[in-house]
Parts: sequence; C-alpha cells; structure tokens
Amino acid sequence: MAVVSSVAVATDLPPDDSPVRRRRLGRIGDRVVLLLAAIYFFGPLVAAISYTLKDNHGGISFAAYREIFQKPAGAQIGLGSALVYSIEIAVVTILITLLLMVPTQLLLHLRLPRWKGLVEVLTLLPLVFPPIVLVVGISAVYTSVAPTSAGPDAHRSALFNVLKFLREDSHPLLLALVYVVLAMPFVYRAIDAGITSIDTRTLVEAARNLGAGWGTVLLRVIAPCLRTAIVNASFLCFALVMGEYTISSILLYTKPFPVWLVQLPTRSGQVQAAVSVFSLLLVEVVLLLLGLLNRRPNTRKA
Amino acid sequence: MAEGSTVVAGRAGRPRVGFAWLGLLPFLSYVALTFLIPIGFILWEAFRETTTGKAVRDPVTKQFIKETKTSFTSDNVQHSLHGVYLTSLETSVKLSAIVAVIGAVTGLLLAVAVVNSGGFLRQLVASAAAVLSNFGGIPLAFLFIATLDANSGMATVFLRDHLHLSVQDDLHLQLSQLSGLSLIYLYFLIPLMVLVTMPALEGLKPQWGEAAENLGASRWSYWRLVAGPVLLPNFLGSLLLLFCSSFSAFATAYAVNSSFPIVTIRIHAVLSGNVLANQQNLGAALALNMIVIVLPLTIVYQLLQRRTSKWLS
Repeated sequence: MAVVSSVAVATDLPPDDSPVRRRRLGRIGDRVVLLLAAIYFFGPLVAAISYTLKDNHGGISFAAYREIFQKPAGAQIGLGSALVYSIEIAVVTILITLLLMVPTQLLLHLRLPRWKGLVEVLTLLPLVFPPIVLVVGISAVYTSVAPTSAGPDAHRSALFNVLKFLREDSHPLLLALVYVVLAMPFVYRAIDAGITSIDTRTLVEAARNLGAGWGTVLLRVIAPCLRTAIVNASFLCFALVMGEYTISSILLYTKPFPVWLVQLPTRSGQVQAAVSVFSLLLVEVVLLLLGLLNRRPNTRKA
Repeated sequence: MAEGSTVVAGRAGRPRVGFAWLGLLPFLSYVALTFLIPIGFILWEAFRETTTGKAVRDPVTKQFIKETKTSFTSDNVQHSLHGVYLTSLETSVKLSAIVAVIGAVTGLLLAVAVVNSGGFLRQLVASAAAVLSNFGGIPLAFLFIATLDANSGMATVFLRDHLHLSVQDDLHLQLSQLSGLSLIYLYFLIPLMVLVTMPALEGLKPQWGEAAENLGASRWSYWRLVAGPVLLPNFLGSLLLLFCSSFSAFATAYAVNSSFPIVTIRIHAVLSGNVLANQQNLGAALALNMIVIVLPLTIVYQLLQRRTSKWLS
C-alpha cells in the first residue's frame, strides 16, 4: 500500500523511468480490481456451500445433499425425475435445432448467400423479444383457439387439439419447439463460425463428385468437420433448457428442473441452496467436457 | 492448401439458384409459426377487448347464454400505462439503468485488469465469464439468499457476529429490494460485460500505445484521445446490451421477491391471475410496452456494433 502513495505522482520523474513506474502503478490497481472481483464472485459461492453444509450445532453435515438425492419432504417428484424431465426436453431441443439449422445454414452458405442477411436478422429476433413477451404471445394464441361458449368451430378445435397435444405434460413438445427459437441467436453464430472456418464448398463438391448423396455428405463429410460447432451449439441449447424458468412456469409446467426448484417448500432453504450449488457444478462439468472436446482436434493438428 | 481444379470449376459455374430457396421454407415456416405469429398476436390482442352482452335465449337449447363481442380499443394500453403498471415500468427502467451503468463500468475495469495480467488468468476469467454470464435464473437467486438473507444468510450472520454490522441497517442492503436485486443482477451482468469487452480491448493495437508513448503522451491522454474514442461505441453498445438483459430478466427477481414491482413480474401476475376481464389483453399491452422500449435500443446496439467493428476487428 505504501508503494501506491510513493509513485502516485509519476509525471515529474525522468522520462525513461516513467513508463515502468506507470506500469507498476497500473499493475497494483489491476490487482486490487481482481481481488475485489474474486471476493464478489467467489464469496456467494463459498457462503452458499458452507450454508448447505452447516448443521444446527455448528458442525458439518451433508444432510441437505442427502435430502435432494432422495425426495425432498413436501416435493411432488425427486431431483432425479426433474433433471431427467429437463434433460429429455434438452435432447429434443438439440435434435430439432441441429436438423433445422445445419442444413439451412449450409444451404445459405453454398447456394443462397444473398438470403443470409434475412436469416441472420430472424435468428436475432429472440434477443429483442424477451421470453416473457414470447410466452404472452403463445398463451394469446392458445386462448384464441380455445373452444368458446359460442359453440364448436371445426377449424378452431382442430388447431386447439394440435396445440393441446404439443402442450401435454407427459411430452412437452411445445417447450422444446419454443426453446429452439430462444437458442437460435447463439446457435446461428456457433454453426456459422464452424461453416466459415472450413472449406465447405470444396468438401461438398469433392464428395458429390465421388458419388455421395446429400445424406452422406451431411452426415459423413460435413458433420464430422463441424463437430466443434455442433457440440458448442448443443451445449448452448442444453444450458438454456436446464435454466429456463419463465416460459415453463407460465405455461404451468411443474416438472422441469428450475420450476421444481422454486416449488420446493420454502422452509428447506438449505436444500434449495444445495440444489443451486449442484446445478452450477453440473453446468461447470459440462462446460469442462466441452472444453476437452474442443481441444482435441487442435492438438492433433499441432 | 486444397487449391485445385475443383474450386475453380465450382466458381466458374455460378451457384445455381433455381429452386434452392425452397430449402429455406422449413426454417422460415418454423420461425413464422413459433415466433412471428405469437408476437403478431401480442400486437393484435393489445388493442382488442371482449365485452359481454346481455343474456339471450338460445333458440335450440332454450338456455340463456351471454353473447361476447370483441372489438378494437385502446383501453388496455392506457390501463397498462397507469397506476401499478406504470410504477412497475418505471421501476424496471430504473433498476435496469442502475445495474447497466454499474455493470458496464466495473466490467470494463475488470476486463482491463484481466487483459493486462494476461496468460493463464485471462483464459480462466474468459471461461468463468462465459459460465457466469449464463448463470441467471433461479439458482443465482438461491445463492444470494443463502449468503445475504436478512436472518440466516452466511454473510449476514458473519457480519453481525464478528463485525457487529447489520446488513440491513448499516449497509442498507435488502435482498428483496432494489439494492439487493441490483447486487444480484450484477453477478451475471459484470461477466457479460467482461465477455463482450475483452475482444474489443484485445483489438487495441499495441502499436497505438507505443506510438502515443513515443509522441510523449501520458497514459491518461492515451486513454482519453486514442483508446477511449475507439472503445466508446463498444462501451455504449454493451451498456444497452446490459440494460436490455436486466430489463427482460424475470426468474431471478421472482425467486427473490415474487411481488417486487417490475414489469416482468407484473406480466406474470396478470397472466396467472384470472380475476379481471380482459386479463389476456392487458398482458399483451404490457408486453407491447416492453417491446416498445427494447426494440429501439436493440437497433441502436446493432448500429454501434457495426461502428465498433470499423476499428476493432
């Protein structure tokens, strides 16, 4: 700390000396900023972990964690079922996303570069319209096709039955369909980075000249080259689905993981904190795995 | 280098367009069905109302039914700009503005510190920022409740027992109020700022700094006259990004205080309650208000991004 005050006025020092001193002053400032940031970002994490581990007598207890892996008292389903439910939605979301976006973006890159701007703007729209706005629109559509007292209407009830089927609690396809849209801004960029980083045109033409059909080209030529991009896009979808609360709660789903977490009885604050820590670690582990997957092709090249 | 006849041949034959655009139909219809139509419904529903007429007897079933009529109105929008709804909009703007400014400034400082220290730390912070900027929602709220809850939070208890400080009275921090929510929002906004600022800072060419130094500029004048103007569009753009991001946040605030008066929580209340007539339309009007605020900001953000990439690429 004393160093700070002694170099505070650096302007009247010899010119050849000043950059060094200035840099040292800057470095101390940087250290202070980094330290404060570390306290702010690690503090709550450490506090929450110790909160989940304390017992009433000032000792350490894993009871909160044990409870989440059984079925928390007062909860309708256990953590496992909630996680599986969300993971299933995530898998469907990822499948739809990849099937929709990879061929579309390849087509844009190879044949329709002029349309790229339009598609890009469309994929960015979900950033402009927050999830809560989108869900207002969805429930507006839902109620407007719902049967009214005025009498049955063939058109309406057919549409309503489709929507009702998609919304079914046992297979919430509606959620997956909406999450695909929410993930688009990030997925588009991830896949676009992949497609532009390889020589897609040559690869496709070479494969086509050798007699490969489009299916083979997509699955056995393009997909392996885009592995990193596809993994990135999938992870983005996964993280989004595992954390999404707004839409699933307003559409009255109770089983997705974040909704389940909020519905835990409030007296089990310790359990809620334990689940939060657990979910953060879960995302962290997936991100770590992703980093390993991303690194492999680079090391092979080197 | 895979240069050869295939590439040349491919270029020589112009990309055939023909029916290729049909391949975009799946994407376009998907976006239309899952996104454009619901958003369109908001515009429509925000200006509609349903009125119940007097009961009439159905000629076939001989039962009394009430006729409902829908018509255009501006009542919903007016209603959404008065009383509690106006307050919620104001609180949302206030909260978002506060956290956007604090988040942008601290995020910039942190990014500068990280970029200066380089190496391992830079990589670590970059990946930590990627995780934390996505770490919104419910778990974040519970993390802070465990830390700073007015009665049993770990930090609250520690400060009370060891430093005799009350979080609520001495630090004026209440988790369920504006101060607490700001603190929580910054937990994902600062990393977001770091994430979008680091590439810009790394785009500052070292030659500019050296040139300025050789010409006798102090560090301050370098930042004021060279780096500052180059970074300004990026900074302003990030400020807008942070504003929009906190303006549209819902889950975190809801988990901390489900009756906090911000517009997203108000929309949730309107949608989940079935008390008043035309609830749906009021919800649409509130959503429309949000769009009217966010849409221009996003357009300005895009323009600023374009301006940023002029210098930093």
